[in-house]
Amino acid sequence: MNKYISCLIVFFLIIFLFVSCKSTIIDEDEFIEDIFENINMMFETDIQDYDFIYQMKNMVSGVYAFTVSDNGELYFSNWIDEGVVNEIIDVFDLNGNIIDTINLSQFAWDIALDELGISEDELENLTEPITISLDSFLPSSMTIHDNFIYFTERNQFGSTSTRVFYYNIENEELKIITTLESFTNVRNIVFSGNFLYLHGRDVELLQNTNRPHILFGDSVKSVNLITGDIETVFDESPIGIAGMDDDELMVYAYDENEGFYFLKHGTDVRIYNNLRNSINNFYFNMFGDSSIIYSFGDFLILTTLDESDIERELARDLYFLSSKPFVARSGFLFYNTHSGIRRICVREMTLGTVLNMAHTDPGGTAYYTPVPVLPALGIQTRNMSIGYYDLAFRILSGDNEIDIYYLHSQHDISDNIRRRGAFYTLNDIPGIWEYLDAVFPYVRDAALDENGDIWMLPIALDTTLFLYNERLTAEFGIDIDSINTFKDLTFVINDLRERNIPVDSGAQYEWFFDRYFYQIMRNNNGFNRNDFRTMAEFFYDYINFVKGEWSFQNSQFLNANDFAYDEYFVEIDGRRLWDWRGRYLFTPQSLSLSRFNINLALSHEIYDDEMFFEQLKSMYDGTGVYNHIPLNYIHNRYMKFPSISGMAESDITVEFIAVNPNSNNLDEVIEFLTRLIEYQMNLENSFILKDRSTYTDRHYINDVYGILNYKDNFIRFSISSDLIYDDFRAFLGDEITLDEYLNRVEFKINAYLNE
Amino acid sequence: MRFLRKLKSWNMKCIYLLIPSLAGTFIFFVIPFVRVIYYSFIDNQFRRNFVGLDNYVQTFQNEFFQLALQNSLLLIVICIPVLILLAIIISLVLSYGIKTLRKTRAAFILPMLIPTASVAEIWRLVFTGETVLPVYTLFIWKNIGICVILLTAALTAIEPEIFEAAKMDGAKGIKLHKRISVPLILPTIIFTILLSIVNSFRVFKESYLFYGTNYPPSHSYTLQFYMNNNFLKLDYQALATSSVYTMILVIILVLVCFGLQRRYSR
Repeated sequence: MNKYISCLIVFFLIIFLFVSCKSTIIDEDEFIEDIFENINMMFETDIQDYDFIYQMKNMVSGVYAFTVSDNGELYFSNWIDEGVVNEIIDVFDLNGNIIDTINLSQFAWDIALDELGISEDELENLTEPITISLDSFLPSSMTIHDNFIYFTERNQFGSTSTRVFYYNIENEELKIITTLESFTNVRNIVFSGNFLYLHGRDVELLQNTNRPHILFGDSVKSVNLITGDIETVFDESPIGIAGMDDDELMVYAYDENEGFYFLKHGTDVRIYNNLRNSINNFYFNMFGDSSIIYSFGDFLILTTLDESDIERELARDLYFLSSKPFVARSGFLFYNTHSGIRRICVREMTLGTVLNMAHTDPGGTAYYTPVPVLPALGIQTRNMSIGYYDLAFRILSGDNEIDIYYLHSQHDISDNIRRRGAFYTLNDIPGIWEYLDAVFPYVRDAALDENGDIWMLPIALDTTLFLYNERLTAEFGIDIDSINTFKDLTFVINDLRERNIPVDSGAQYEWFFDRYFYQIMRNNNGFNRNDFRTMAEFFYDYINFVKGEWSFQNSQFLNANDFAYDEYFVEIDGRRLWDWRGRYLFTPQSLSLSRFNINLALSHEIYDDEMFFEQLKSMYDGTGVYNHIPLNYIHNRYMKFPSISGMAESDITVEFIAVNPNSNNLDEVIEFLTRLIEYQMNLENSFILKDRSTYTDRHYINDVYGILNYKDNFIRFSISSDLIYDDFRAFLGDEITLDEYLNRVEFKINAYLNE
Repeated sequence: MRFLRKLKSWNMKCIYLLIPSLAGTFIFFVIPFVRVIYYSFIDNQFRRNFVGLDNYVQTFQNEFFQLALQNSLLLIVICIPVLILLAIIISLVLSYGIKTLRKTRAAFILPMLIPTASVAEIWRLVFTGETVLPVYTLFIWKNIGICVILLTAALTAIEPEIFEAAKMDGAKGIKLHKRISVPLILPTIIFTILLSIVNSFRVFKESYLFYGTNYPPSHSYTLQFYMNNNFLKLDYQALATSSVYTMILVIILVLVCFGLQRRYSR
């Protein structure tokens, strides 16, 4: 009997395992098929591959609002001057060909009569003259549902009400739905259920003036399309609204205490996102007062008005694009540029042609793990963070799940991929040779393997820069040119302290250990006892390991990677403001952070102290919008970071993409890389392209460019400092002697390089 | 044909029952083994150019492979005799010595039950400094349990009459065990040695956890470290050739053991 029971258990176990495996596989395959099937059914196409940017060729200028129908047709509000100004809606098909033009102005007469409540016949029989105003109907926001285009008018100056219209495409009929009093600047209109939801601004007319006054800021109003009832459905600082698939409204809003959250209308459940915490305060401000949120499927697309182009650092399911209207439909994100409409495929690529990207996650205090900064170029990349063991295993086992490797030259596996030939040769990628000719020569060298084949696509450079305030260093009598080595730097810091100038010595020694290790090992020539002895003695002398601080005179321990401030805060009316960010004398700063700050400085164009001060003061007064203000760049300069040996070149690293030769999606990979190259080639202030004309003419940019363009620079693919980090700590903690430390390091480095 | 005839004469049920096991062996052992051999003859698995014995020559000439081989052999030469000797003594004491000690028999299984990570952590508290002793001690401590169990089982299987006859012939004490017990359990001793040799090649985990790095001090750098590090460097060829060398080494050691067994059995 027991035998039969055992057999049954084994049988069911096998069935269970089979079904488990099978269902996983089927689910994924079905999902991919569904995506393509739905898209193609929707568009009546046989598309298996999607264009990433769609540029309209026959666009007329002056687009005010636009929307996209479910079948992919683009509707733009527009105007043309043909002696008489006509407000129109142009309709384009998927290929960018104009298929219809709706002249809204032709309805002006009828609408005017409607509003007066008289017919054409009654007009003929009027006994007294009346005034008929042929207003503008130019849509400021619009949406399309079935055969109806719903839109709001563009408010005239001083107006305090907004009319809501629908245009029946089939009957060619324009009607006013309602007029929203004390409500203007409608940013977004959403059709959901039997309601129109409008996100706009509550206003009233100031007495004795014709100037509208903002009452409470933004709110969301609903218009019941059946009863015509108008209701304020949300007035707690909405940022954007979106219609959901289940005919519900999703609101994205801001709470002063908790930050940003999503709220499904009709419920009390607020889903806070952690953008404010996880990304950066800067992005928190980018939402501003004009963000728009869209939904499609499981995605929520958040847009914001900002002058910069696609923000590359952000999460993949949030898109921050340029300061133009957006519409998301059926997996595409459309946005309006000055010259036309671009279409970015967003959703379709997440599975069928997904590029699974791997970046290594080495861990350890001395490492920095790069965050993928690839732009969304129509092929969404799904990031897989994997460790060395897993990555090595995947590469050696011919794994085809990962398509591209997003790596950093500082990862020791990078060099192993190059040396072992574990890459797909990129020689035939369109434009790649031109791109390599366009980047700094040492970057080109790094991209070629020993046979002259292109083994990786360099994306961005990084190095440690020395940022200093030229005016302040001069005021304090610091000869900045004399700081070539770290010993020179410590001499300057101690000198400042002796003169009672507040100096922060919070730089973490792990970071410096890392820098110096790479400097010593930059040629991978093996172990040099003298170099490592010098480095060990240097750190031993300058670091109080027990306290975890630098042993400068009167040392203080702070967590910032800054050396010296001239002041920690700005005082206004006796109160300290922004006590964590003042101006500083000098600081180490990574190129990646510098690039960010420089672009920020350029976008804000803050170039003098007065503007800087005014910005702070407006914050203090509560009248200004919180803004991440970069350091006052007018006095900022960059120089090469002091090295341990005083070497002239900088230790530069590169973030790059290598392609898995076993990838199942090589066609998509090639397409993606082609677009990426095009994107890279058009970057401004890239700090990787050597063409000086692609950089803005600012003194601090010239500094950085000069450092990167130094003739002896080269990219190094070094071994990991993790190799000896524990021994280094053991030595600093007096657990082992200097000779024991050196012996261990010698064995490890020699073994690593020669085993 | 003879093989087929013999196969036909078997009960088909036996063959059916063997199929899952054979399939598993083929898929999980034979195919990987053939692949390892194949990888050892190509330049790398992405380009796959045949390079003959180049990989073998390079690996054999590599100073760190030589160091690893030397350390692995030292571990076998030093630890295994100590381990077996200790295991025999403990087994004899447990089988024929003080009766109260027999109750402690279960304690020898404990090292096998304690997770290696915990053991390595405890061992770190015991040992400090630049010495090979912790790894050797850890290996002996960890493996002595299984050896004692096997040897004690073999000793208890010896017929009491044999001892009685030997005693009547005047044998006693150590001489009794040297002449009677040990020769009788020689096959088990050889098996225990083989098992310990195989286990000595698996000492990587303990060593890795004890030193906390892929690069332990030179005296503890064994073949497993060499192979593991080359795996991380994507050098499958060094990994494959050193595996083949290890296999050859194990075969030689097994043959030596069998030779010894045959000689002493006579």
